[in-house]
Amino acid sequence: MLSVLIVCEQLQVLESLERALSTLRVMATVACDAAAAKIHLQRNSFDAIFIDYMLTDRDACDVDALRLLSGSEATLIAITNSGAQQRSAFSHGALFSFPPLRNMDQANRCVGSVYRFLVQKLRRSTRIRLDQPCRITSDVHIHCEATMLDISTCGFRVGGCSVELRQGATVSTAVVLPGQNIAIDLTARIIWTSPGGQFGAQITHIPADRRRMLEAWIVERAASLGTTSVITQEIHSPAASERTAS
Amino acid sequence: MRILLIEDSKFLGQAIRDTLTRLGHAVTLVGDGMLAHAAFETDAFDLLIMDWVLPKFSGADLLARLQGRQVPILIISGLAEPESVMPSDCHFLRKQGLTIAELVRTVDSLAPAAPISL
Repeated sequence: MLSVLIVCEQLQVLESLERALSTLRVMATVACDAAAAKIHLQRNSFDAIFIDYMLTDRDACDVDALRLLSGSEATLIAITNSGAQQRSAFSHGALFSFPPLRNMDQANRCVGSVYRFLVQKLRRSTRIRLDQPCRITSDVHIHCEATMLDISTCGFRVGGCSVELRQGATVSTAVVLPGQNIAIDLTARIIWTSPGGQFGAQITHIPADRRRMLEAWIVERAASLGTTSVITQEIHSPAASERTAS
Repeated sequence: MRILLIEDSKFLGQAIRDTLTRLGHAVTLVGDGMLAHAAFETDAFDLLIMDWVLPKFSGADLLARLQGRQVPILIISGLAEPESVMPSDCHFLRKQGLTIAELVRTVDSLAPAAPISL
């Protein structure tokens, strides 16, 4: 489940946001000013922060500063109808800007677009640790038994592969994810290899129904494990590639 | 002040309660008119802050049940013309454009006011 912090003191806007978020899988925390936001930022991490720039400018800037100080990579969404404040918000790293949300249609459209963005970001950036057996078949019909060590919607990492596979090779595999009973068929291109039979591969083809299954599983798993148990680095590993090159 | 806050919106309830609590008030938050009535039966309050549109009892139903209680009442309403439907001896604020800071100022202004007889 996504976690968002809403820093806003306008009652009607809060009510609209609540209704729009209630239909989505989001856990929301509300703060009315920078002081309250600071407490929440120190205690929790958030996927997104909605900041009402109609708070006093100082408060909105304080929240921006707090977000940076806390090392939060949360997506910033500004709520304002002022052009100057909008520019200020974008210069502070905001990715979205909405006017104060006063009706449900407006709130659903705005919050819906943020939600889709956040889910996509989570799917792309999150790899889940695995320890699942898989059978690898290379493009030259070499087969080997291996272990899938992690997976994202973009790629996966395999260890214990008994045959040597070259960088750039196409491989196909199928893996049954924990808690699932249907195998996910994947075709992928090897991006890096390292001694010990490890390689990282970028997914090039996955059937549409299996992709949906994988995305749903990753979002669910990421939420249940928390951010400390997932890996957020990119699938392409320059360090590993350098090892292979040397 | 001991404040009973009746608000069915979780966001608004949390926001108002946290702010008033931080300012030193003792806030009891309930989500509907029935729970508010029950809270009044067991505890004493210096101020009642309520949404006019509530689940279970409406604002009007709740006020009818609280008749005779000596407590100032602040109604927050999303209605376009709340004056036409609300008791004249209650204070009210329109939700449109209302900020927590303005609500706090109104609460402060009600602190020394004489209680209203319902």
